[in-house]
Amino acid sequence: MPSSRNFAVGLFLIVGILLFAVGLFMIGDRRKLFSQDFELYAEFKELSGLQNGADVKVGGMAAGEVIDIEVPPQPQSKFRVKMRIIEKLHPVVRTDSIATIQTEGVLGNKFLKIDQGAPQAQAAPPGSTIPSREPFDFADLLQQIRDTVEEVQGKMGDVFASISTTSGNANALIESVRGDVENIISTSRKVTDDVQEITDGIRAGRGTVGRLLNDEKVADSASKAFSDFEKAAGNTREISQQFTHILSEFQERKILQEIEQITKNVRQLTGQAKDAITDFQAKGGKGESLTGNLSRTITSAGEAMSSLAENMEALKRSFFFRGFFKNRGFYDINNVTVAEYREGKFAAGKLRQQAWIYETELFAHGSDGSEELSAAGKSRLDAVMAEFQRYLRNSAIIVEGYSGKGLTSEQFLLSTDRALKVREYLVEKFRLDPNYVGTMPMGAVASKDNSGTYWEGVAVVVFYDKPD
Amino acid sequence: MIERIGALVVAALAWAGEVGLFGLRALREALRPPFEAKELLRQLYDIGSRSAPLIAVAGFSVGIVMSMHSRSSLERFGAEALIPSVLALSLAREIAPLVAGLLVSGRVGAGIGAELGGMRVTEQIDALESLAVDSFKYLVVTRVLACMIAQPILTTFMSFTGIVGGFVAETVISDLSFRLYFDRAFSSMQFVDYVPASLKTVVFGFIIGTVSSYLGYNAAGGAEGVGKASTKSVVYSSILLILANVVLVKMIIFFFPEEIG
Amino acid sequence: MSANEAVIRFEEVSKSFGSKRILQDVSFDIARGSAFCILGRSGTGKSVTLKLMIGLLKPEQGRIFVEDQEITALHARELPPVRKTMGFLFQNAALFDSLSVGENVAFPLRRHTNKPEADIKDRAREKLAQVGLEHEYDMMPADLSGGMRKRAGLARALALNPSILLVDEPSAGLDPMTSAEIDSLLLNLKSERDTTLVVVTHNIPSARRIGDELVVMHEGHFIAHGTAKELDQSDHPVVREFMKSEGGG
Repeated sequence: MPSSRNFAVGLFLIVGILLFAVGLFMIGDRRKLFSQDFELYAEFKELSGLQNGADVKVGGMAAGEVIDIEVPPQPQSKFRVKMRIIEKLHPVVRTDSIATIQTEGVLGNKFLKIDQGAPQAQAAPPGSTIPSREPFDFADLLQQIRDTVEEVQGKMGDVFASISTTSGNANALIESVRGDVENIISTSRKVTDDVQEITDGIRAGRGTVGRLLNDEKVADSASKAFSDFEKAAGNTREISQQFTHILSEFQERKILQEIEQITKNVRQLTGQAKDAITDFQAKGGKGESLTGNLSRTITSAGEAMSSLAENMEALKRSFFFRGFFKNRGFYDINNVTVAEYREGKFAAGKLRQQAWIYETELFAHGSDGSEELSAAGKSRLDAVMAEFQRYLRNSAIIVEGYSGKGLTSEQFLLSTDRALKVREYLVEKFRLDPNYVGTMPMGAVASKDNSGTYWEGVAVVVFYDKPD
Repeated sequence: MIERIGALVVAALAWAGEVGLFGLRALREALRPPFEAKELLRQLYDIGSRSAPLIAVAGFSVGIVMSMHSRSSLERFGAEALIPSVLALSLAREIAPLVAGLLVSGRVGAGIGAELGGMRVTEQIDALESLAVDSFKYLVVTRVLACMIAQPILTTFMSFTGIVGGFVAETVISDLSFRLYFDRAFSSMQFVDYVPASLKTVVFGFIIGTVSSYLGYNAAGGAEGVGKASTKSVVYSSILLILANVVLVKMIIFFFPEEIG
Repeated sequence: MSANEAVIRFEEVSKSFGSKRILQDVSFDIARGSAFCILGRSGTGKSVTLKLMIGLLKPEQGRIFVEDQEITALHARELPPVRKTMGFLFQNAALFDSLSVGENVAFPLRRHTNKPEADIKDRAREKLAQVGLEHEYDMMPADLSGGMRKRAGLARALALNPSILLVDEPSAGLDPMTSAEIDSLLLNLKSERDTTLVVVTHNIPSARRIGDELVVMHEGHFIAHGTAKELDQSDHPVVREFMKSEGGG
């Protein structure tokens, strides 16, 4: 029997090894080990439990796995996640594909999701780093949304409260008139009705009054009286109708339109409203009741709208809306290079005001040669800022530093240092939003007097919107 | 009392040491010619091929039962889709290695213990030696090796028949295609779930082969001794196998910490 | 003592199992071509002596030579060449249960010769024919009677044409007729092939038939050594009693 026994052993071994290989292949296939692939990187501050071997999905399709996670060398850096993706999916992974860490189901494994890129973007080259979005921290997100919403709601509440006060006052006015009007109307109606009844009775009935019909005098005078009465009643009705019409128009249309207008022109209003309101207030100072109410309403609406606008700015800066506003010409001071700045790329389309201040005006020199803002320098800056005060809302300030001393690097350092010192002072003193105040080391710039010397000092530049 | 326990422990350790040396000798001898290929083939037939039906049937039943159990608990979470993956993972990681190990130690361990014990007491081992045959190589090395080779294969059989069993249980309830079931079964499995667990059964095979060969090869005392060797083979190799499993699982987790657990 | 060349030599060999001493300083020579019978009661160490000769057991003390080679100094791996020159017929034949009678006989041939399959089978059949089992080639050992098994065991022991044949209790468990048959087989072997026989037995008639030289073991010693006639005249009480017993079975 050895041959059948050998057969059984051979079968046993071969089937066993085959099955084992099938298992390996199934796992390897899931892990995409047997297909052509390429490697990509993505960086995250927060890994949320992503592990080596975690799935990578492109457009929801299993595309590979995380093969390595580099721990950041210092706290500020990010984790660098290396992943392997099958070559087949390369065409949809573009340079603008965004990597995010996601959870399978509610409690499932973490995996890396890669969005399909935009068609105009290039395919992500192997070994490149694609952009990533930090995993959502739901608590953070909700808190931020809640804060913003509450703030906006509060302001809106104020606006509506003022508006309802206004319309309340208008209503009171109307109400006070209405009593008289209605009295007139109801009285006239009663009179008319009575007359009507009598007339009808006369026309229909023959009784006591009917006999009077033979008396022409009586008939004439009666009919004259009737027509007079009728005329008066008709007038009264018309007047009261007109009044009602006016009131309802005022109530329904005018004020609502005003609100709509306010809401529609939220942004434009913010700047103008203030001026308009101050003007209005100055002129109509004596105006009481309705005018006063309205101006007050508009004032608070204006204020509400301006804080709404501020909130909009805050929204723009909050991370989840940032990308949305990027394309709208919103600038980021920190992302502008000196070269770009020189070319005027920064805040293109905005107006600028500039104030030059010489180094000698600004700084006192310490014993070690270091520069410190002098008292005179500070008051000079205060004067400049007083001049700029009217541009400050929604404006950016750039402190340009200049220095022509020494090597290029020394020029750079000194101009940076000067700009920074001035900026620090300005932000602190005038409570400026730090996001709106930048520095720009300009280095050596020849002075305009052709003396062959360089500018030494700073220039405070304010960029502001064209007045509409 | 303590002395008695102490003596017992010492005896147990001495025994374990002796068995361990016996096994090491088998491994060492396995590398030295002549290689008893023919006898190894015969042992593979006895230990491997002839255990395959038992293992397959057991795996199939285990698959069905486990599928039903995991269904009843996963259904509560609406996670029926995980059944194949849960089944395959538990089969590959633990159930198949351990159950196949215990089944083989029952079937093969007893067989080796009885066969070698019988050969010892009827002087067949001496007869082999008298015929200028190295009985250790001829009888022990071949059996230990056959166990080590057969065990991972039998474990693989059990895993796969288990998955098939799970599929059969599943088709009664839903009409999942086998292809999809099979894909899902491997969906969350990694090499580290599959390969180390399969390779650890080589150690199981070594334990079964060594312990039962040792007991049989050194049997004494006639027919009764043979019976004892056979019973002890099953008991000792099962216990050692379970203990070794604890150590091996610990080791696998130690060496591949992030992927498991 | 014998002028003939000694094939097997024991020099002050001692062997014990645990605390039980089996052999105590035993020395003797076995001459080539002779039939050496070791007699004694059960459990006196006859079989142990036989196993010592072929290296199945190792003595604690003393040296054992086979064909001038000191087997007690050999490593286990160096024993096979010596063993190939020896045959061993075990008490219960010790046929391999898993092999047929023919394959049992063919087994040593397959292991130690490179002959083609047909030659091996022919040789095995020939060996079986020598012991009168030419028709039992394909039977399994379990189906044979005790005598047939013993003859098959003899055929296997002789497969490699050994120059020394060790026989453990040839008549154990056999009826006197069958026992006599085995004895005559052994004697044939000795006369035809000049094989040295070492026979352990407690069957005196059998020993008388076969043995040129007889020893009686008692309590770990050889208490008598000589021909059957010499032993009959021994004044050692144990030997006298033993020689008279004619014990069989």
